[in-house]
Amino acid sequence: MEKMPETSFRIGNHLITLTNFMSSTITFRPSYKPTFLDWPIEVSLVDMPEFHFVSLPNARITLKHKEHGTKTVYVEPYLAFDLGTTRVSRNFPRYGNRAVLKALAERLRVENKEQNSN
Amino acid sequence: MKALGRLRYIKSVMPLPEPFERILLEYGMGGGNWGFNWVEDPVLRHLVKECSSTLPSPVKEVVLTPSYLVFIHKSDVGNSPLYVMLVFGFTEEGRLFLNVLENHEGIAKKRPICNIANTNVYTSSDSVVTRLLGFERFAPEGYTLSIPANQSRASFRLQGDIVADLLPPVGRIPKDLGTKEFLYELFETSIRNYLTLCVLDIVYAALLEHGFSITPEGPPGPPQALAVVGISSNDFLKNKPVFESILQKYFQTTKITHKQRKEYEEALILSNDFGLFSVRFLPIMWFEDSLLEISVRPIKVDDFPMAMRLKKSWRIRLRRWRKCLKHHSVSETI
Repeated sequence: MEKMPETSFRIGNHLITLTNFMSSTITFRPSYKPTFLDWPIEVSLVDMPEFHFVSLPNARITLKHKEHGTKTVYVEPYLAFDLGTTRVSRNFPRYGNRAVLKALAERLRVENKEQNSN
Repeated sequence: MKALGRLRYIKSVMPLPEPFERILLEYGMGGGNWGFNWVEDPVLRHLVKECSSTLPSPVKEVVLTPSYLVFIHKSDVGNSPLYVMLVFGFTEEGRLFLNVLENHEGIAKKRPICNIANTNVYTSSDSVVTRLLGFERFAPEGYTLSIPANQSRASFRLQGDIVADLLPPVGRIPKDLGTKEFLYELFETSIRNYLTLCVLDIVYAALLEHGFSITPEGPPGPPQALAVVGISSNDFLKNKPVFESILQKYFQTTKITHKQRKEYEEALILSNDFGLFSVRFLPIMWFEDSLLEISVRPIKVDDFPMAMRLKKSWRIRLRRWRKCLKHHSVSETI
């Protein structure tokens, strides 16, 4: 069976593989190019530029994550598609980083205490 | 004891997952001073403390849905209130998580059920909360994402915080991307824009040749105009023949004339290769400085040799690309 070309990238700790998708913008560089204002022809297949992909027949998304495991979902063909993350408040990463630092410091304190008692 | 009684009542209205019971009980007994010591995950424990201690106002209301528990804080900033929401929920593995959201509307669709620690408790549906989080439903393993017939777009949570957004073709993408007509039609507009850029490039070169300093202008993307700084409206109007003679080196050119009820002056230029274009001259005053903005618009280009040449090479690329599509490849550049 022929191997399907695919593209992989990361969002946070998720490794995402898209199979049977194409870019929503086709870049075409004609042989005649402007001398000073050199810019390729960009043909967009969708109205909204934030949708970067178009699904083709048998389009599938594989997601891999250390805690969540591996998962595959499929996408109906010929739909504009994009990936992102759930909404959070602008302060959430700040709270999160402080919490991680406190948890790590707490663990280190416990580990040091255990070492000292041994 | 009062908090326990309230909790029993809430459970009679809506079944509660055990962690939600503990959170509500702790909230009812401590008035929001959560210990969260029963939570195993130390990061979540610290996160709850961080969030609740940093928020500027006390909890205004609690909203309960089958899968989410939301504590809403309201602060009045400027004219519109700001709602900060602590959203508790569960990951697909059943682990408790906390997310923090902000908006100016709070949660609109809710039904009051009781009061706990002087805070009104409401019930609502999961979809109200998932919409705030930016998706409509969770896609389980093996699910096929599609857009329901009555919707204009759809959003699914796939794994953890990863969300997929889908948009229907909206008359742009036909059910068969291989359709020649569709891709040719899209390319027609792009060809016109590209040829306009090529002609603007020649105008740029002609002005440079005569010693002008030029700045390409426009939003991110291909330049839309050329700016010749230091040329005032008066300078331009007195010296229109100079600009006509510059253009005449590369194009057949009409005289530069004023368009009625328009701000700009215009000349028509014809190139046997590129087609017929309009060149617009717009003098702009900027405080004490002045500049002449020069832009180009296509008038008739489709049947000229350069457009035909581009269409031919596009057709050759498309043929290659369609072969690629038959094998379902991911193609970013053709």
